[in-house]
Parts: sequence; structure tokens; C-alpha cells
Amino acid sequence: MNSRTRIKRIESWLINFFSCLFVVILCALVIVGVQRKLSAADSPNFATVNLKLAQSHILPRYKRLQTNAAQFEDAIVKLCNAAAPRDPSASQAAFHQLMDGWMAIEHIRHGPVELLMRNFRIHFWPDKGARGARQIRLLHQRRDQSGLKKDAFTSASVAVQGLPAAERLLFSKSYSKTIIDAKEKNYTCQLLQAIAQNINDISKELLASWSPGSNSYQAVIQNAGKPGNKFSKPKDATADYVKAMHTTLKVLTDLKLDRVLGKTIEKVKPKRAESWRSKRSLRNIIFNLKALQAMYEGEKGLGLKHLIESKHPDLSRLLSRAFKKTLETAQSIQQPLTDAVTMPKPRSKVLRLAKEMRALKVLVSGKLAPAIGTPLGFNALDGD
Amino acid sequence: MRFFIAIAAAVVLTSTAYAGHHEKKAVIEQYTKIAHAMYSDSLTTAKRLQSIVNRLIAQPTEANLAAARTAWLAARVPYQQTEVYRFGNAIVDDWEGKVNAWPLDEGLIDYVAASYGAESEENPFYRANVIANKSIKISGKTVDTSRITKALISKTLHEVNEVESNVATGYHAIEFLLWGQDLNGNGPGAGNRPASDFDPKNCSWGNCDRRAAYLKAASDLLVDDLVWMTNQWAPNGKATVGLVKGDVKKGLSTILTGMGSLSYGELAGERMKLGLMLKDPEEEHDCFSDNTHNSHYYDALGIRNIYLGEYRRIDGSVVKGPSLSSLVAKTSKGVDQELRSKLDATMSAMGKLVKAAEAGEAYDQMIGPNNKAGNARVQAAVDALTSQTKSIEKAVAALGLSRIKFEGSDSLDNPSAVFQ
Repeated sequence: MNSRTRIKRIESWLINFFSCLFVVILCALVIVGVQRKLSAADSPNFATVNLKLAQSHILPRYKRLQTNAAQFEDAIVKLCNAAAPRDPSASQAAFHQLMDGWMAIEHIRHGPVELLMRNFRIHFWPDKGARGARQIRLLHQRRDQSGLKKDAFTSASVAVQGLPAAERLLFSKSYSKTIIDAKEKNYTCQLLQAIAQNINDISKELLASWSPGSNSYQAVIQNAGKPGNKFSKPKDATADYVKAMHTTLKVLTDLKLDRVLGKTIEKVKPKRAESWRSKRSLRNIIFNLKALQAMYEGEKGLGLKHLIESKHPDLSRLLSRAFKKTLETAQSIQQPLTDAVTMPKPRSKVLRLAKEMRALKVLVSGKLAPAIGTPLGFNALDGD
Repeated sequence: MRFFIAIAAAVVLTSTAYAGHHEKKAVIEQYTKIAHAMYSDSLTTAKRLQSIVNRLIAQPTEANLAAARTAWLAARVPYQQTEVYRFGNAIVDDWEGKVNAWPLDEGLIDYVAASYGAESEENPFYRANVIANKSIKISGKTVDTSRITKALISKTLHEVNEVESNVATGYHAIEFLLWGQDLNGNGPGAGNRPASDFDPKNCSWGNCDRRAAYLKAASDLLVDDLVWMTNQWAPNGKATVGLVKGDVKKGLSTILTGMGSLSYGELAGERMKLGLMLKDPEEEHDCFSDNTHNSHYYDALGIRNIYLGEYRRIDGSVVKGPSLSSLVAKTSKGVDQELRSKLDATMSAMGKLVKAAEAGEAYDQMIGPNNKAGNARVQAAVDALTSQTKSIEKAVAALGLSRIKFEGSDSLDNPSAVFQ
């Protein structure tokens, strides 16, 4: 072997050695990467937080809703059975309790509430085409009795089945006057009773579907990732919570505030506010925000925050501060929303609130969702 | 030697990535070409409608009214296919309210039946009836409406008082003038306006000259608006240049945003599911003409067109080129196949709506409260669209695009600063 061949052999050996080393390092990197990915996907945090939210956040809120709905139905039955002139104040108070209950769980837009149009049947809003007004008027014209029977009523237009219809009957001058003064049982009262019973029925269904049990939605969340489950991994179930938070913030900014505020004070539209008849538009917003804050912080510690706390401490603190500040701004508005938006000083507070909610929404889509690793996907509100 | 193979492999990898860039550009270019073809076809059919409207006004016969209705129906075919360009392209979205706003409170424009109702708390102009009134009050000021012009209906009346249902221009305003109200509720039958509504010599319902003037102004305006939009999609138009010269990822996101948002939020949600929830005959997109089945069908076809990179023009010729479909297939054959089969399933569900409507069951009957089979037929199309959206989301992921950027329009530059 001459020196030339020897050098050549060494050279070829070196090349072989380094290319092997290169391949080995590459493989090692790939394996480490895959493992890191796997360990992130299998992280027990997702499953724990999912279940905690179902048990300590969602279930108690549906329980409260059902209690409120039962009390509302009782109040309406009493009201309608009383002799004229009837006093609607107890029913109106029960309505407010029920609205509080709904606004505290409205942000949960996935699971059983999606089935059978339950969410829309409880609270169809906004009614941009004013369909509810027209349909309730037509029902009164026809005095349609068969349509009020349980089976028929559950498949009637959602605009006559739920809370906004009840609000119109209880708080608008013309309908509430009929309820107070009519000598005998009147159609308005019959419709109101059908609505109250319907909301109570739906609330019972929701409570049952989230209560523990092998067929419950709680079990679906608990078994995320197991064969046959709708979620291929626990993180997919978490994605629903994140999406719910984002959608609710979008509803709050786009629908509950921006449509009301108008671009300038001259173009303000107070009657586009949610629940303007019962003067509780701002109260709805505060209940929504408190619910989102609780979902983030956790009712007893384990909320969405838990998933980002250690890896993204700055973001986790920023979001805590953002929820707190936004809520404080909402609570600092003294007047009913319908008045506040028309008065220069209070309006500036409402504008501040809108800005903070929009910023929160962007933080959820731009920071929280990527940090948790849950894409938001297309949104039902993408239309116009 | 292996070392060099490793290097060579790296070079090959980079060059495919480079080729990928060209391929993506080509897909975006094809997207703009199809837009131009679709808007050109919309313009051509709108011009035909315009000329027949002129004939109807000159000779208000039933035959001419029927011809105008046929021309309107034909104009909807290419236009509805353009709707997929609306979401994601601000230039289209900011403009489209002028041509396809819906639903409308038609009492703003002309006479309506008593069942329409006297007032709406959402809309003070619910029964303004501009055709019958030579002046109206807007925010306390009296506005002269003695001459019905393009400017009056587009600048003063359209969305007056910021109420979205004050639709004074576009396809649906013209549709109302050609058909009149559909007073059949959830029962059979469309609007039934007589040709004498446009005949000053033998005038039904009064103000026939003003009604004719309104129809002419709205038809002329539709042509003007479509001329403008067609120009935006010409090879050197603003919309085309913005996409072709812009960021490739952003361009692809635009295409998929349009597909997903139209499929889900708009078509499956606002236009179809809402109708099923409200069971209201007014909740149909083309409610005067009972043409809703076709509107939905061609919306869905537009989504499929831009995914496959092909469009059949009104003259029968086909515009075909590099497709998003083949781009997705490069990364994931499975996702591409799934999405294509979902798009086909939607077309089949939409086809069933069209078939039922052509057999005499109009869309407003299908969404009626006591029509289980009709409800189920509409629901099947909603489900198909929803399912197709999930596959579009998979395509977004397959191409490595993020959904977050899509929100650009209403996002803040620095949301954290708000909470300092």
C-alpha cells in the first residue's frame, strides 16, 4: 500500500465516519424531536384541566341555571293563575335571576348545548331581522293553541322559544299590560308559560348531559383520546374551551358593544343592545366576563392558565391582569349601557371596555391558543 | 461519497422548496384569473339585464317583465360563484354590500302588504316607501327624493341610518322590483308583481314612472359596480397585483379563508341554518324570486372551483390551471382526497335542493315549520358544508399556514399594551 492509497483510504474512512456521524446526529435529533412532541401531546395536564373545568366550572353553572329556570316557571304559573290586576314584579325578578344564570354559562358553546339548537332556543340573539317581533305578533293574531303544546313548541322558530321572547312579553308596555289587565287567561300568558316550561326543560337536559354518568358529556371529555371517542387526544377537548373563550370575546366586542356604539356618538344604536328592555345589557356583559375569567383562572386553581403558567409565565400573568382590568372597567360604568353609550363621558368608558375586550380577544387568538397549541379554526361568526 | 450525497440531498431539498414557491405563485395567479373571468361574466349578464330592463320600461308588457326576470336569474349564476372571493379579500368584502346585501326591509323601496307590519324597532325606515314619497325625513332633515337617481339610492338611501336591512341597491333590490313580495309564506309561489306596475299609462299601485326610474337606476348602478370590480381583477388591477406581488403564504391563506368562511359562517350559518332555526319564509336568500336553491348551489360551486383551479364560463369555455388541490396533494394526498370528496358531497346535497325546487317545492317551503323532509334536506346541505370546513382547516394545516393571520383586519398591533 503506497502513501497515496493510504491517504485515500484515510480520507474515505474520514468521509464515511463523518457522514455516519451526521446521519446518527440527524436521527438523534429527529428522535428527540418526536419524543418532545409526543410528551407534549400526552401531557397529563390537558386531561386534568379538561375534567376540572367540566366538574367545577361547567356543572355548577348548569345546576344554577336549572334552579333559576324552575323558579322562573313557578313564578310565571303563579302570575298567570292570579286574578287581574296581576303583579308581574316577582316574575320580572325571576327573569333577572334566570338571565344571570344563562349569562354565567353562555360562553360554553360546545357539547350538549349545541345539540337540538338548545343554545339558540334558550337565547336567540341578535335578532337582526327582527323576526321575533313579527313572529310573536303573528302568533297572537292567530291565537295558535296547538303550536304551544310541548312537541310543537320545541320545533317552533327559535325566536319565540326563549329568553328574548319572554323579555318582550314581560317588559314591553303593550304585552305586559295584557298580562296585568286581562280578565281571563290570555294568549300572552299562555305563550309565556310555554316559554318558561321550554327553558326549564332544556336546562334539565343540559344538566343531565353534564352530570356524571357513563353516557354523559363529562365522560366524553374524561375519555378523550380513547378508542371511539370524538376527541383523538385530550388536547382536542381543551381546544373547545379555548375556542369558546375566543368566540365569546368576539360576540362581546362585535355584537354586544360595537353594533350598539356605532362609529360615532351621533350614530349610536341603543336598541341594538342585548336585553335593553329589561335594562340589563351591561349586567350580561359582566356575567360573561366573570365566566371567562373563571374559566381562565380556574374555580379552584385549575383553569386554562394552568396549561401555560410554567412555560409562559409572562403571558399567564398578562392574561390574568387583562381579565381583571377589563372586568374593572365594565364594573366602573354607572349608567345602564343604553344610556352610557349616548353620554360623552360614560361613553368613553364603554369605548375603553370595547378596546380592552378586543385586545383580550387578540391575546387569546394570537398568544393563548398558540401557547396551548390549539388552533382556533373557522368561526361560526365568520359570516355577516 | 456519502457526504456528498448528503450535501446533494440538501441542495435538492432546497430546490424543491424553491419550485414550491413558484408553484404556489402559480396557484395564486390562477385564483386571480378565475376571479377576473367570473366578474367579467357577472358584468356581461348584468349588462344583458340592463338592456332588457330598458326594454321593459319602454314597453311594460308581461313578456318583457318575464324576459327581465330570466335575465336576472342568469345574472345570478356567475355572480354567486364569485362570493368565495368575498372573505379574505377586503377589496371585495368592503364593496359587496352594494351589490348583494341581504336581507332587506323592502318597505323602504316600494309598497308592501299589510302583513309586512307597520314598524320595526330596529329600523325607522321600515315603511319609508321612497317610490311613493317625493321627500323623506332622515335624522330630522327633509331629503328631496323627487328624482330617483343612482346617487340617491346609493349615497342617501342605501343602509340609511346605519341599518343593514335598508338595502336600496344591488341584486336583491332589483329582484324585489321585478318580482314583488312573496306573499305565500311557507306555501308554494313566488312574488307576483304585474308588468303594469311599470306602465304610467295603465298604472297599478301608483307612481309607475318613479318605480321604473328606480329599477333603471338600480340596474345601471349594478353594471357600474361590476365594471369597477372586474377592473380590480384584471392582470394589472389592484386586487390581482396585491395578491400576485404579495406574500405567498398570505395569498394562500386568503384563498382558504374565503373557502372556509363562506362554507361555514356565511352559507351554512347565516343563510341556511338560521332559516331552519327561524322557519321564516323571509329567511331565504332570493326570497322574492324563490331562486334561493340556485344561489346556494352556485355559492358552493364557487368554493369547489377555486380549490380545483377551474371555472366553466357562461359561454361554456373552461378556465383551468394550477390548483390548490394539487398543492395540498404534494404535502398530503389524504387531505386533498378528503377535501375533494367533501366538496363533491356538498354539491350532491345542494343538487338535491335544486332538484326538489325545480320539482315545485321552493326553498321557503323546505324550511317551513311542518316540513320534516324539507328541513332534513336543507340540514343535510348544512352538515355537508360544516364537514367540508373541517377538511379546509386540515388543508390550512397541511400547507403550514396559520389561521391567526386571517384575523388581520380587526386585530391590534400590540394588544398587551392595552393592559400596561
